[in-house]
Amino acid sequence: MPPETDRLPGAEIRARIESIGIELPAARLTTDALLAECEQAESIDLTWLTGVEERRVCGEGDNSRTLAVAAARNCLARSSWEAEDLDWLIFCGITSYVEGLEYQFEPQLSAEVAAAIGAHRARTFDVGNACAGMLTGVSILEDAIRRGTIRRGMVVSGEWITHLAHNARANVDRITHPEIASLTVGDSGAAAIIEHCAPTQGIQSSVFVTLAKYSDLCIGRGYPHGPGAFMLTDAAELHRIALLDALSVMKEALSQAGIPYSELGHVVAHQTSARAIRAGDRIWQNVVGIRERKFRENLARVGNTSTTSHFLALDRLLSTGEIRRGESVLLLAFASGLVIGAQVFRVDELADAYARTD
Amino acid sequence: MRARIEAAHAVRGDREQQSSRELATAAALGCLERAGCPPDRVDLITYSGILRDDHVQEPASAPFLQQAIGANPAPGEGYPRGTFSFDLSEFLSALEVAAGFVVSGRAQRALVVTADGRVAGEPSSGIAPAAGALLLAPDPERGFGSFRSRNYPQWSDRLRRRAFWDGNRHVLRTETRDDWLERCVEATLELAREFFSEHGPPSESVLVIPSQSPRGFPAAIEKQLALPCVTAAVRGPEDLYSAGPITAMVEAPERFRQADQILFATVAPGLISTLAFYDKRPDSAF
Repeated sequence: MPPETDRLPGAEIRARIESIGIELPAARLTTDALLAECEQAESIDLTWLTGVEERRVCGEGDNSRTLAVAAARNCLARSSWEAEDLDWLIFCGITSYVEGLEYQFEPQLSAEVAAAIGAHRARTFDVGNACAGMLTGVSILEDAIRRGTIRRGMVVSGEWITHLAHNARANVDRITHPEIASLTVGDSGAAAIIEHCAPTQGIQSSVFVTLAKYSDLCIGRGYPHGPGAFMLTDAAELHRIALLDALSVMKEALSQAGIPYSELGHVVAHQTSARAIRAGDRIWQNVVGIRERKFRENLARVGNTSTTSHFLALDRLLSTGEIRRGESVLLLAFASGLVIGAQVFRVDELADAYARTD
Repeated sequence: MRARIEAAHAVRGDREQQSSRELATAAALGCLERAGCPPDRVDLITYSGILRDDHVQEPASAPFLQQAIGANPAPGEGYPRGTFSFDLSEFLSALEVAAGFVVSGRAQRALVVTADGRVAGEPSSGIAPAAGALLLAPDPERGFGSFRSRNYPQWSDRLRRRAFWDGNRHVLRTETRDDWLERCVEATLELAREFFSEHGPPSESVLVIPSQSPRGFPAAIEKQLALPCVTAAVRGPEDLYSAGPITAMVEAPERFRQADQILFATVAPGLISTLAFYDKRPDSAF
């Protein structure tokens, strides 16, 4: 007999964020100290431009894998589940640096993270979708959970990206320089457990689209003059197109979720620059006609952390009580590709876990 | 609902410096042409390949492919409905995710593309340039069923592939232990036997589509499982890698047609053994 699709019994189910864990390297680098290392950037007020005052940077022994493993462990520490309970584990980072700046293609980091945390039962694979990687992973887990294929899984990322800033220091000489965005990045790890839940809870909608015509607006690749990578970005054009074309994606996500903007508590967008986030907030306020700031910022202390930025922001906002149980949150993804995505979820016991631990 | 294969296409590299993007584009367009499916009908594109053209880390490779084949590259009628594209690390994880999106209705047509090209300026990686593409569509009865995967972390050091800076350039280094093939076979046999024990024995018309690397893996699986396996023709010293299973499948159309059950069996460093069961109508192309 041909086997049937692996499906768990049950009525309609949805997926919820059960736990979040983050990891930040200990070392800090202020924007002022970074600019002091730049040869031609003395006149650039990067903090005013981006809102980034400092970022964490990998030290001796830190790399993409160590950050991911630590974040995964922190996520489990806050979870009701053990590593053995995870059905899938997806690594979603852009960088796969291990042992210095050696870039590991194989084995996949998902398999190594799973082994390190004891997720021996988990199906593992890596997803690549630039800065939308973690939310793409959430979308994949959500789809599998709603089909009944799995009960829970983990998305995890570790990003060692400050070598972009290191490699840009000699080149950046103006705010419109294509490597200016490289000076805003910070290193970090993040993980989240996604699990099944009742239909009225959890992730209410998930809308993603790739506007590939703009795939060359931000490109990161191996640095030709040394270890690590470099990144060229047409930041102004990228933000202009992303903000414009995100409106329809946000509207569709809210419509599918059945949540009017007036009832939405927070928008957590990919954290690139405070000015861009505030511009997005103003555009959206004009569109919906509601004068209330809902776009949240988390750039000052960590910078742009690429794939992990949404979960770092959620972690801080939940820790400070700015996001509370019962509220709805829209996660807005922007990424090279150009990927635009929106996920709307209701905050549930996740907030209680923060109240207990903090 | 299931996800069935609507069309498949594979291409092998024929020039010294053929890129992953060129090969992937040719495979994807060939697949869509065979299906009679215009690119703008594709809702989801997944891309899997080990090596990145020009050492690009972002964006993912899939958006470049999406742009090259013209699958809704810009907002059009019905936006934000369009094409979503991203990379997945290996063929069967891509297939499982894409088939899932088709089953759940998030995608009506999903294009799964695998490719390995040559990296400009690099000596041979040992991987033959090739690409394959499968177009998935919903089917009420037949298609992909169970996927099964297991990690063997005790063998994680059997194959490692990394790029590092040697003082002048980024260099790809592949380290393979002598027993890599043996461990791949051991893991696959264990998983397959467990699978058959749980789901019942395969039909008499089953066909196994295995990874084509490491060299000798398809023959060893065929012998030890005592099931017919497809082995793609070996051309030169390099082995088919990411595109191996699709290439083997496309280059044996009659054997695929005659089968009523297909078992995809792949191995990846980690060591990760994965099986995918595909239930098809006998005497149908897919």
